[in-house]
Amino acid sequence: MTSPASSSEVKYLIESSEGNTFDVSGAALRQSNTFNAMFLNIGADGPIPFTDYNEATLKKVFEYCEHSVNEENYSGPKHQDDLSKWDLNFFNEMDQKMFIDVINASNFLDIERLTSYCCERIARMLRGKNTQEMIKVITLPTAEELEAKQKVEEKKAAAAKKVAEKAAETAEKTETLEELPVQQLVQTTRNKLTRKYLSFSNE
Amino acid sequence: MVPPKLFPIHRLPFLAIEETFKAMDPIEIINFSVISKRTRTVAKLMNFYSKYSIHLSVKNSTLKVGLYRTNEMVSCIYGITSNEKKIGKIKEKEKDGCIERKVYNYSKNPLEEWKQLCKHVLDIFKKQTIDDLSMQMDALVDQNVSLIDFLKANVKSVDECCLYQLDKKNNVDENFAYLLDNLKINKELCSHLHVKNDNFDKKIPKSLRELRIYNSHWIGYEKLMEFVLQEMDRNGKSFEFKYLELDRRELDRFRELVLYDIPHEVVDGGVERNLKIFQNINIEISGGIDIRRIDGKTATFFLKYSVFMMSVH
Repeated sequence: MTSPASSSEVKYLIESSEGNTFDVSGAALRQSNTFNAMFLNIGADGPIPFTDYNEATLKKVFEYCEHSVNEENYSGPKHQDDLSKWDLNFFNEMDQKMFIDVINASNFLDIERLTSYCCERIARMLRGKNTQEMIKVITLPTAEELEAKQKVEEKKAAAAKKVAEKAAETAEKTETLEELPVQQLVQTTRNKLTRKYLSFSNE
Repeated sequence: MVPPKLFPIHRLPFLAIEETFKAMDPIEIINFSVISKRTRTVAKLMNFYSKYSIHLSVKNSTLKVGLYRTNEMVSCIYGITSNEKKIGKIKEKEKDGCIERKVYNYSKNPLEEWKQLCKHVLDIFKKQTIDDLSMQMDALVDQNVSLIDFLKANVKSVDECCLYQLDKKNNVDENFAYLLDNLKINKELCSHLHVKNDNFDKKIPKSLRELRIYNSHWIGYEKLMEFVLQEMDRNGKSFEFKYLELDRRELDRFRELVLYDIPHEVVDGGVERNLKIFQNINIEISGGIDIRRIDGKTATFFLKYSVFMMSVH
C-alpha cells in the first residue's frame, strides 16, 4: 500500500531485485534523500522499485532507518566510540559482502547517517596505519587483474577495430559491386559492337 | 563481522570512498596514496582538500610537511629526519580540543625525501600555494639555493613566511636575498635573520598584510618611506596591510625623515588606545602618530616594548 507521504504512519512498498516487496514506514524512508527527491511530494502508485539491491540488503538498510527514526537530525559523523550498543551490533553482525552492499545501497538512497557511519568504520580500519600496514588491510586490484583487465579492453578495442574495418571493407565492396554492372555493361556493349562491326566488315 | 580483513575498498562507490577519506587524517591519506598508482589516482580525485592548509618547515633536525584542517581540529605533521632516535615515532598531543599528530620517518637524505614528499602532497592535495613556510636559514646553508629553486619550481607563492637563524654569527644574507628575489610572498613576512650587510638592498615584497623584521637596521628611513608611501597610497588597489614591526626607531626622527610631507597627526602621549598587533592580539598604547590612508583607515605608528610598530585600524 502506498500513498502520499504526509503522515509518518504511511507505509510504502519497496521492491527488491528478486521482485519481492516489503513494507517500510514513511518516517524511515524519509531518511533517504533519493526517496525524498523522487517520491515525497508526489507519492507512489505502486511498489517503489529499488531493484538494483537484493531484499536482504534493503531490509538491513531500512532496519537502520527504522531504528534511527527518533534520533536527532543528523549533524555530521559521530565518533565510533560514541555509537550505541544497537549501532555496534548492527554493524558487527554484517559480513563483508553485506557491508559493501549496504554501503552501495545507502549511497544510492543517499542516507547520510548510515553512509557516514559505514565510511567511518572503513576509515577506522586504516587509522594510524602506515602504507605497509594498509596493504594488509585493504585489497586493491592486483597487477595481474589490472593486466587482465587491460588485455580484455585491448581485445575489445581490437574486435571493435576489426568490426569497423570489416564494415568499411563491406561498404567498399558494395561500392565496387554497384560499379561492376555498369562497367560490365559498358564492356559487354563494347564487345557486342565490336563483334557486330567485325561481322559487318566480314560480310 | 566488520571490520573485515582485506577490505576491497575499490569496490565502493566514489562518494563512499570520499566519505571514508573525510574520516581519515591527512597522514593516512598520504600513506594510502603511495600504495600504488591507482590509489594515488583515487586520492587525487577527492574534492574536499581545500579544507587543508599546507605548512612546510625546514630546520636543523627535521624537515616537516604539515597539513592543517581549516577548523584546526586536527593537524598532522609528517617529519623526515636523519635522527635515528625518531624512527617511526608518532607523537600526539591535544591542546584546547585540537589534536596534533606527528609522524617521523627516517632518511639518510632527508632533504631529497622531503622534496619528494612535498611534491607528492602538493600534487595529491592540489595546492599551488604554501600557506606557511618556516625556514631556519642556517640549517642547510649549502642547500638553501636549491631548496628555494625547488619551491619556486613547484609552487606559485607562499602566503606566510617566517625566516630565522639559530646562530647569529652565520651569514645568510645572500640566501635571504635569493629568497626575496625568487619566492612570491603574499600575506606575511617575518624575519629573525641577522643581516650582516648594512647596505642589504632588497625590496620588501608588495601587498603584504603583515611585515615583521627584527634586526632591521638594513631598512633605512628611505626604504621605510618608500614602503609607507606604497602601502598608504596604492592608487585604487586593495589595501591589505595591517601591521608593521621593526626595531626601535625614534618617532621624532621617523616623523622628520619619513612623514615630513605626508599629512599626519601627533597624538598626545596621555591618550591611550587599544590597537591590534600580530595574531590579532590587542595591546594598549599611549600617543603615537596617525596618518590617514586613502581608504579612510588610520595607520598609527608607535613604540611599544622598544619596538617600532604600525597598526592599521
